[in-house]
Amino acid sequence: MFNVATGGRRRRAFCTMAVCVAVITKENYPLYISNVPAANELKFHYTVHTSLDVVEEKLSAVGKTTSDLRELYLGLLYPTEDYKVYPLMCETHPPSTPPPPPIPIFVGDGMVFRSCPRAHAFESRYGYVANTKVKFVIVIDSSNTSFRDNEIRSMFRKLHTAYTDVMCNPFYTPGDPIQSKTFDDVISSMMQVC
Amino acid sequence: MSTGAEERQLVYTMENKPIVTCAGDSSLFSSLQPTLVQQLPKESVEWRRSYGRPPKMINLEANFISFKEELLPKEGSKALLTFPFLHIFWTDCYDSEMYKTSTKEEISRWQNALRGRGSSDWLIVLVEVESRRKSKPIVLPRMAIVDKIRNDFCNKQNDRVVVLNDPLRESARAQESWQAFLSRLRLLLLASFTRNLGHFEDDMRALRERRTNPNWSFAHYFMVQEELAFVFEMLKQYEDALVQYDELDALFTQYIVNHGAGADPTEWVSSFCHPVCHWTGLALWRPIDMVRRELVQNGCASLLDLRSYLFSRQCTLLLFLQRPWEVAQRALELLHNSVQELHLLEIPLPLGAVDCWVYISCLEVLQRIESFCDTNQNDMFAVYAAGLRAYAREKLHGLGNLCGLMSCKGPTSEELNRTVDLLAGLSNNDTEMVNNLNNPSKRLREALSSTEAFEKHYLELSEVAMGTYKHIGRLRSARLIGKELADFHMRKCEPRKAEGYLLDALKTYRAEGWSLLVSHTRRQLAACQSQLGNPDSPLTTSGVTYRNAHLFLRRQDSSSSPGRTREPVLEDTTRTSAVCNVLLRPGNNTVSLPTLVREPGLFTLRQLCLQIGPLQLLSLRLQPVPQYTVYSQEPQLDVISGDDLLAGVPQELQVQLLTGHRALQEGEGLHLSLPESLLLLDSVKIPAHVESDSNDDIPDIELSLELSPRLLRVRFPAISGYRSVRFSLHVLCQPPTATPPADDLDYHSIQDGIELKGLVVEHRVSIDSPWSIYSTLVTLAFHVPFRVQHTVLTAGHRKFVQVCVRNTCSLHFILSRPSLGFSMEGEDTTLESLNPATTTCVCAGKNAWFLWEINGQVPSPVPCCFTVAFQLGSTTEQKRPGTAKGGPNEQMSDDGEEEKPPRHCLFNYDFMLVQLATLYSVQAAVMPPLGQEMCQMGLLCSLEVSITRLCKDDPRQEGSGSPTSDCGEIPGGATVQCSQLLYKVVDNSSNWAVCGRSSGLVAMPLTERATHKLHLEVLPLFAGYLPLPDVHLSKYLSESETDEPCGESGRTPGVESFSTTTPRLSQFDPGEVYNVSRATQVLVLPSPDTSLVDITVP
Repeated sequence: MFNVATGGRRRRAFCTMAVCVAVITKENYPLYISNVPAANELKFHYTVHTSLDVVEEKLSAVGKTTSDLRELYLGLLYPTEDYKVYPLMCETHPPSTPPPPPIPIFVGDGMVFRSCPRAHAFESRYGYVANTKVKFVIVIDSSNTSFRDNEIRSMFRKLHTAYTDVMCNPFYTPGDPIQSKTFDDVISSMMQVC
Repeated sequence: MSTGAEERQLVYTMENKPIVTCAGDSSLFSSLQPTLVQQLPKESVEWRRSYGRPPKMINLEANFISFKEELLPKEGSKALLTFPFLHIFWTDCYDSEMYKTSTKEEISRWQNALRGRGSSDWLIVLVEVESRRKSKPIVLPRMAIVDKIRNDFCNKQNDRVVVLNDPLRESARAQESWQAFLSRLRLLLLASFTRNLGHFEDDMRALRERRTNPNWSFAHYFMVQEELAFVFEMLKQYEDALVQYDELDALFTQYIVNHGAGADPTEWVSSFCHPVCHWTGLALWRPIDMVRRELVQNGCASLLDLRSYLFSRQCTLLLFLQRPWEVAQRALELLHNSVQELHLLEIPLPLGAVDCWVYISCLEVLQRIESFCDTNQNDMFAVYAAGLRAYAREKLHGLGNLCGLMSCKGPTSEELNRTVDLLAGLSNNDTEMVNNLNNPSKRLREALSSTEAFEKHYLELSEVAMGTYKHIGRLRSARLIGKELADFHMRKCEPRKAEGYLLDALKTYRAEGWSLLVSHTRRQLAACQSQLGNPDSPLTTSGVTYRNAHLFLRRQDSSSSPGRTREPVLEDTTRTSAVCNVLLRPGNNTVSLPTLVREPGLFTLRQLCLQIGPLQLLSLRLQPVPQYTVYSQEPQLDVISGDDLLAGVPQELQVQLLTGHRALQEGEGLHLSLPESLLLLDSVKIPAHVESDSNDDIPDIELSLELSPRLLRVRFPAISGYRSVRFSLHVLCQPPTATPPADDLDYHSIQDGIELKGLVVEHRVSIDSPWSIYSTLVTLAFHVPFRVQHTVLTAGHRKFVQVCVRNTCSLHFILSRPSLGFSMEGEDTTLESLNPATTTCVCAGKNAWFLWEINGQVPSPVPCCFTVAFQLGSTTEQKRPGTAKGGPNEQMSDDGEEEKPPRHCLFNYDFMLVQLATLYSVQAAVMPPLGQEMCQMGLLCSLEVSITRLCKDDPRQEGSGSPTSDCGEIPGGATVQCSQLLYKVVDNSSNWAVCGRSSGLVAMPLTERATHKLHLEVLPLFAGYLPLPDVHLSKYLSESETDEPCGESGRTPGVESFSTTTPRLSQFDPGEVYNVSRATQVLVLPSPDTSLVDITVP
């Protein structure tokens, strides 16, 4: 009697950490989107684009309640039946703290940033990703129930660091799509099969 | 647990209350039951909880049923709902014989039954009825029965017996004993709850700990914990009840996750892996879904059944807790999670069954919450509602796909089979549910029945979902739904309906620069437009398909920031302006773009679009922004009067008329209604100045005036629109007649130079205009330039009237022809003017004084009128040094006035003149001490005061009852009419030390020139010219006079002694006492310095 649509549709053996990672500018256009499987590219573009609605909603709510965005991690914001979408927001420095000294971007391979403790890179309160308001979005497969919040956070930390490195590249024009092998490698490590 | 049928009945109603059994005298109890049931919940009691839970205030209710042994819980029973929490024995035994023979027996039988089942929560109530006791001749001591019961049954538990006095009577004693009984009952009930629920929870925890046992049953545990939830719900502790379900939810979820991970293969979980045959969705409209509960209880529930049941209970409790949006939030999580769990457990389901379940559930949740509160009012809820609607839409979309309801050809036979399978799982035997018109399951069946019905449902739901997204500002989500709708219409071969959605989506994607989405949407749009039969080839992109792209105008207020524009995008505009067939020549070309605008606003030129044949050139957004404002103005009339219009002086009123969009016809004009006291000074023709915004030179025009009494017509020549016409009118406001101010203080403040605001006269002018049926009311406030005060001055017998005119405005005035008149018939009293026959100039803020002497007597207050003519002082006069510096009373000759005949205006001041005859004069003199020529500091001088009566007894004063007369006895025996005076010598400036009697009584005979002399000693404290100490006189009224103010002369002293009132003082009115030596000064020499200086030489 049953046309059996089995749970096989859900690839339990094919379980990745993230299925899609995206970097989106302040103006909401994508700098970088990568996803697995690559065939679903269009679907992920739509998903990430739609998630911007919720990102903006959360940001305006944050702006209303607290003056400084202590926590850039916005939490799970856009669950769907198939995916869980997590965003991260790189905020400029909060209004209460003085603006950071101008950063000599051309100093060299991330020298300036090394002096900052890595733990701070995630919270990014000092805006060394200068005035970008860049958003990171990570999409997790919903069937991946074993994920913990701190795993997502550490993924964002990794992503943020990689992004910072891209920004340090003197040959990179801010606002251009990211085309960097190093960055690609970091992202694909995040989308590995676990 | 008790048997199913009985329990089902109990659970189903949910009108449960904790059970309390009643044994003993049943008729006694039933007489008291209504009061008891009503009174018990009236007061809340604090319930202290175990396990560190916070105490709660709780209003107890109970279900009192008569005691049966079957009600007692059987051994090992876990039922809580049917558990009797308290047992009460009722008796009204008042006779010890009766007690011995029957009552004691009954109680002990009852107690044995309780003890047999281990029930320790009991209470014995002894009801005392006063009347019954009195009817018995032999009355035992009242406490005897109680004591007996205590002895026999309450081993160390004295609180288990309560005496209820005359409970059916309305007396304070009965009230008191009721309250004591109720509070005891509440405490015992709570203690029973704490103990029994505590036991239950301990047992439940122990049961949960055994969950790793292979034969542990989740269904059984579920029922046990739910029993606890029911009891909490029964006690209205919804929060606690919800916690029980949440714990069950968490436990179940964890097991499923573990099972899915393969980590913990548990047998009972596999019972949920059976195929699902029903997907009717959540049912939230009943507090307890008994059908599903039974399935759970019997272990035959499917995963969806369990989830549905659990959620329906959580929903019920959340609604009790007034948290409807939490229901919506949890619903979305639940649905996502359940779908995952179905996959995780690999439960076989027909294609589309999950979609049915989710669709129905979403709509059920929305309906349930909408029935509870107005969802549109609540933005917080709108977020979740949007999610639920979008989810339901998505599922319906999937179902439409599966069942072939989205194509224009209709379903294939395979698709029809699939539909039949799905409908089978939706069959429902629940009649109540079927009768519900809006039942989501019924709607789904309808939607799946035909393509038309599906289209109707799908479009409706999509619209609502899109609308909700737009409402909460999630435009991108709304666009995505729009694209799916476009997809739907394309499949239905309706490209025209699809085009709009695709264009909207394309605009959003382009504005935000999502190139993949842009090209995907463009491809769809191209397909759509090729179906539409567009002449352009489908290969061209949408940029070309705008056929009417020209220069775009857009209202600024409707703009949205497109962010960073990196390629020219044809913008969305509300207006365009275009010219065709433009011939471009080498060099600069100027092209005029005509546009007709019908609404006001600020218009901005956004983008230029140049089309040459099929080629279209787009500009980026124009910078700097060229813009223009379009406005429409109603005709407007203003009267500019300035703040300080003056009464009595010709004033200019500026009238400004903005014609706005209405041009004035020849002969049209304004009608001004003037109040009577406002005079118009203009002649028949007045000039008017016309201006326009464009700074054109427009010649002045002439307006004609027609003045009929109190109505002025101003006629205009033809004037075109958007002109400003300005003309002046000259008016004169007659100053009103002034009156004395209410309090006397004002006179002094005028003299002290304190700035006083003058009077204001308000006139209302109403102006009728041809463009409006309403009159324009203009209030003109004219300031009266003067304030006037008068005073009566005294010099011995002589009396003078002084009038002070204060100029309160900032202009100078010339006053002339002062006159003071009063009307008195038959009297030969006259006023002699002491004013010079010249004009007086009064400068801004200064005073002018006028003086008249009163010759003769004014017996009573008479009305008096002061009149002075005034005119504005010319500027030349004001500049004259004499006038500017000469003070307020500078006098001018008539010759100094200007050539032009001055316009005099009269200023009137009416007041009541009160003249009082001078009764006494007081003269004081300081004499140097004997042997000295001059007064000297530190030496006593003598102060001579003589008080003289100036007139005989004044008949006016006698008649008006002025109490000055008295019978005094002069030494010598002769009785003369006297008035008693109190004198007081004071020196407020501390120049003198007054020695001796500084005050005392003086009896003055009522004869003219009667004089009384006083001698006092005063000591000058300073050297120099010292003013004399003041001598005050006041009337001394003895007892009889104060008692009866109309003092009569000739009263015998004997009468006075009967009077009990005390004497009092009364002040003289001003002018009745004349102080001759006022302002006199006396020279005091310094004291000679006679002190010795000792100088010691070492």
